[in-house]
Amino acid sequence: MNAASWRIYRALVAQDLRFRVLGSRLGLLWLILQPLLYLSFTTVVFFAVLGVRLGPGGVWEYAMGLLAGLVAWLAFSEGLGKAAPSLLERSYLLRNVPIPRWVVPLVPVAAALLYQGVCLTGVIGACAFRGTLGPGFWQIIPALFFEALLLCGFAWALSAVTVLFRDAQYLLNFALMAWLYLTPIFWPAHVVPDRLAALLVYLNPLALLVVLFRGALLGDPIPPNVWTTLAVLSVLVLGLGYLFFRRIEDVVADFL
Amino acid sequence: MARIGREKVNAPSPVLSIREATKVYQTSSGLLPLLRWTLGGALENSRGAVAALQGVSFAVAPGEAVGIIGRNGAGKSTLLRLLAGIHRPTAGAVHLGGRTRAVLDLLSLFVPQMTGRENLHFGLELYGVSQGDWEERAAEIVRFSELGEAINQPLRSYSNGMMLRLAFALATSDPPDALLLDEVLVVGDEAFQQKCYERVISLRDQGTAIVFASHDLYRVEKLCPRCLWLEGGRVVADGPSPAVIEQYQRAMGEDPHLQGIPEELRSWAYHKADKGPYGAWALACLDGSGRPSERFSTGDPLTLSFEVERRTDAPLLHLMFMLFRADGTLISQDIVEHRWTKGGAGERARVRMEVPQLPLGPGRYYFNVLLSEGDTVAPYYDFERQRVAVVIDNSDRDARFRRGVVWLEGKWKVEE
Repeated sequence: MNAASWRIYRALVAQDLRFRVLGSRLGLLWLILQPLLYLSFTTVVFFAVLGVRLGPGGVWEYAMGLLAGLVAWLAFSEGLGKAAPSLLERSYLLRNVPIPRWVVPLVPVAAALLYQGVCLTGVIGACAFRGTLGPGFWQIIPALFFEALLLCGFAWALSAVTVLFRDAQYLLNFALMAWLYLTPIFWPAHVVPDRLAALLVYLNPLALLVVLFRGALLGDPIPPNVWTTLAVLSVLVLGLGYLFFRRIEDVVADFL
Repeated sequence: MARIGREKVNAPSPVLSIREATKVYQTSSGLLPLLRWTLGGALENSRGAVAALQGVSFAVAPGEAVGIIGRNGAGKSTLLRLLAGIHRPTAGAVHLGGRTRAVLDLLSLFVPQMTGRENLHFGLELYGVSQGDWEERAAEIVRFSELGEAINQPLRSYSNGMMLRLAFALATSDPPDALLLDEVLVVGDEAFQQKCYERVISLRDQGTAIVFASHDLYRVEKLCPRCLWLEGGRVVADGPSPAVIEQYQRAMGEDPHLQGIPEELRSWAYHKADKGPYGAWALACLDGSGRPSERFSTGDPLTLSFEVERRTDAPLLHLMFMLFRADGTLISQDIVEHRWTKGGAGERARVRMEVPQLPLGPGRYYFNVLLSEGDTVAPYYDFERQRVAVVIDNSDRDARFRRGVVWLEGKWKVEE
């Protein structure tokens, strides 16, 4: 990323954030309120409905485990949901100003990471308050790094596909929901047979992230090979996403 | 491809150049085409591919202004987008150097929900203006665009003309290396258009390369010494503007000298080009001291003067006088009849129409004179390809407060 691309990216992110809160009374406060409201609501609902029955440990443990998992999914849902139509939404700009196209899908990724940062701060604060924050806390940093790589790769691929195949947006909404339920977030991995669980976890970057988030924040054990698998997967997704985007972007521009 | 008298002496190295460029737009979207293109399928001949430019070579040097003319769909906008670096050619090479600013369509970089100023700051940031200079630059842009307080209003409340003001002022606030203009300037009002063209000329003279796509051939000729004519994505001619434009107009079935005359008048006005009973010569507008002039102010005296050549012994001269504004609006039309008292074929007469005080507001106008022998049958007017242009310019005279379409000359009285 050269200086000009970085400058344009920054300007677009700033505009994106401003645009999201434009005209609302509470303004930028919504950046914090929105994810917190969502997380509190989900926690209360699942805790009241399912929490006591499913939780192997105490209520607190279940709620925190749920939150740590949801935080990972939230970045995917928020970032990819907005990245997919990002090229279409900026078509007026892309048709008129020679900006590098590849920075555009990364704009919602930044906003998603920001959202997630706010949520994480809340979860970390809660854990610290209860004194359950383990010494492996620092691992959240590399986990977030790999998550960012994954988001970028997926964002590139999805944004380009969405331009040429508009139905992808609707499929994506369904896919994100399915992804949430296929990932051991609401349910613990041990309720399904070991082999299936291994498949669902090790081929699913989101599940790997959930395992790492829980490991870092709650001190849950991290199974072997999770880090390496995630590293390989995220670099693969990033690289393939980028190559695909650069290969197809000139055709994509014809449809903007 | 015809090159008309192209000079290649000591040409400075071009700011923008494309060589043998072809741009093919894909139109059939979907999963299958997506898969095919990803796996390296050919772009040129895939189904639904439309070639907007085919093998176009073009270069523009610093300080050079080139007009791009051609019908709708000829590839003008595509060429500008290639030069702006927005599209890449499907085949061929593009060399883009320096800072290029483009005013292509009105939405350019604008978000309608944000205010003019926010959009302006975003634009400055995209253009890489350092934050310390924003205030100064923004002030200059607001001043040039004359938006005033409207700059703090959301863009969705702007008219097209206001959007243009902002877009143009932003794109030209510092002299870029190349400025690309598509047809958009026409949405501005007459005064602002004038201001834009003046700025474009001053940029050109400071060394900015100008590429100007337009249907306003008069403007193209005034602004650009060189002109490129595109047709069906190919270059038909590239050379000095007057020659290319005349060639283009003839190909369009349009006589260059009929420009400005409404369609319904053309068929009968321009019937027997050189064979009519009368010819008109030396059409000119004379100023108060009797000298030919193109520039007047509202309220100035003007004399329309020309010579009539009598080719037959017809006893009557019917003289139709028409005055058009540059946009083709008929401002005034009248017929004057004259019965010859002496002479006949082969003789000449001088005709004058004196206007003591020009009632026209600022702008550009054409006078036309049509001559006939006063018969009653329709196709008898012999339009002698004669017209004369005048500019009413009140900017540096006592008449500078005289604005509007016409000047109403009245006698004012204040009774105390």
